[in-house]
Parts: sequence; C-alpha cells; structure tokens
Amino acid sequence: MTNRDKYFKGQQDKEEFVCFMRQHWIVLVKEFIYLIVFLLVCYFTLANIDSIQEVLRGNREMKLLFATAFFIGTLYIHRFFIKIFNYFLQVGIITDTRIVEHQKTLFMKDSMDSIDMAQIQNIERVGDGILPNLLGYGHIKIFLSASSAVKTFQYVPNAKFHFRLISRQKEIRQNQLAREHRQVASEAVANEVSNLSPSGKSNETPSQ
Amino acid sequence: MSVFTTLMIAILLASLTACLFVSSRIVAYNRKYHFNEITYTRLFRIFTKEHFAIIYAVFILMHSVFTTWFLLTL
Repeated sequence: MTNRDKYFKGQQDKEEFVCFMRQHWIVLVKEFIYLIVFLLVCYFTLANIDSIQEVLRGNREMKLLFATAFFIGTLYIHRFFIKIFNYFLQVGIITDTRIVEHQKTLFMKDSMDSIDMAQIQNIERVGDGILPNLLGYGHIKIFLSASSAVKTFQYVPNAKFHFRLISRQKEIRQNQLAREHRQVASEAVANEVSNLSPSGKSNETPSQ
Repeated sequence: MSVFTTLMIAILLASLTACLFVSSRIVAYNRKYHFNEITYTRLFRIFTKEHFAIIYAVFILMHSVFTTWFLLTL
C-alpha cells in the first residue's frame, strides 16, 4: 500500500506525512473586529425594525438606500466567511522528505511550492515584538543551499515547535541521503574490485 | 411586485446561490485533502472549517428568513 495522495494531493508513494500547519489566528483579528461592528449594526437595525419600516413605506428613495445597504451587508457576510475558509485552506505541510507550502483560496489561487529537506542549508526563526513572544508565533525562514533563495513561512503558530521539527527532519533526511550515497559508492567500489583479474589486471580487452 | 421587493429577492437568491457554491468548493477540497485536525491546527483551538461551514449556512438561512419576514411585513 502506497502513501500516494493519502493525506494531500501530490503526496508521493513513499513519502511519510509528519504534520501540517496554518497561520496563527492573529491574522484574522482584523476580520473579527469588523464582524463585531457589523453584528452591532445588525442588532440595532433589528431592534429598530418597526421604525425603519415606517420610514420606508411610500418613500422610494429610502427604499433604494436600504436596498443598497442590504446588498453591501450581504456582500460583507459572504466576504467574511470566504476569508475564514481561505485561512483554513492555506497550509504548510511537513513530510519526511520535503516542506510544501500550499497557497490556496476558494476561487482565485491554487499554488504549491515544495522544498526538499536535503536542499535546506539554514533555518531561522524570527519572533520580534511583544505579541509574537506572548502568543508564541513567528516567521520561519528557510535558506536553500542550491541558491540564494529564501522561503519564508509567516505567522507560524508555535514557531519553536515547528522550527525544531523542521531542523530534525532536515537532519534525518540529510543523514539518510548520506547513507544512501555511501552505500552506492561502496557498491561501485565492490564492482570495480570484482572486475579485476586474479593477477591484478583488468579483464577488459583494450580497444584496437 | 415593486422594484424594491424584486431587488431584495434577487439579492436573497444570489446570496443563497453563493452559499451553495462556496459549500460545494469546501466539499471538493475535503475530497482531495485529508488532514487530521489537532488542537493546534484549529482556529482558537476549537473551530474547524466544517464548524464554520455550518455557521455560514445558519447565518445565510437566518438572513433569508429575516429578509422574507421583512418584505412580508413591509
């Protein structure tokens, strides 16, 4: 039984899923503040609905104004929930071989970027400020050995834990690749030795 | 039926359609991705996207009911 697409679309056959992460809830604070204001407006509207209906009866201009406000309010409700769903869809996935950043929204975006653990040179955890230290979130920067590119995961919750996890997975992966490389090298040497004749000369005939 | 009522009903129907479309996108996503949610991946350590899908549906339903009542009593 393979692990292909077991946890996420694009998971490879022998790839083991370790964990996934989303952004810290701090990125949604602004949206929830707006929601509270919106709910207060809805509450006062519903509390005074009789007065509003009195004003609207027979007044075409006020009805148009109310319809516009109603449309904007409806639009806002949908926008809020779509933002919440987009928050859930955007994930960072850590497996035994790579880190995958999946930037997805409901309608507009769907992009995946993966980094092989063996290509990671340095990992940096940035947690500057009062809120990051109090709430335990931060940015994780991954420096690649093959190029000067830097991959940043922003607003990572429990940043210390994810920093340690990525470091350990990187070490395991690089040790595994080093072992495989040594095994291949020793097999190549063994093949060379077995190709030699008992007198020490190669069994291969020289080309004429 | 007045222009105002027609407009309100059109907005209501568009809202319900949008809710259905968004829910279908969430279902399609869940078919491809099977992450096991733990405390630290939930919003405020409690809510998953399924919770919010239910809250969204209830919100839109209440919105429709109140709008219908408003139009009938106007």
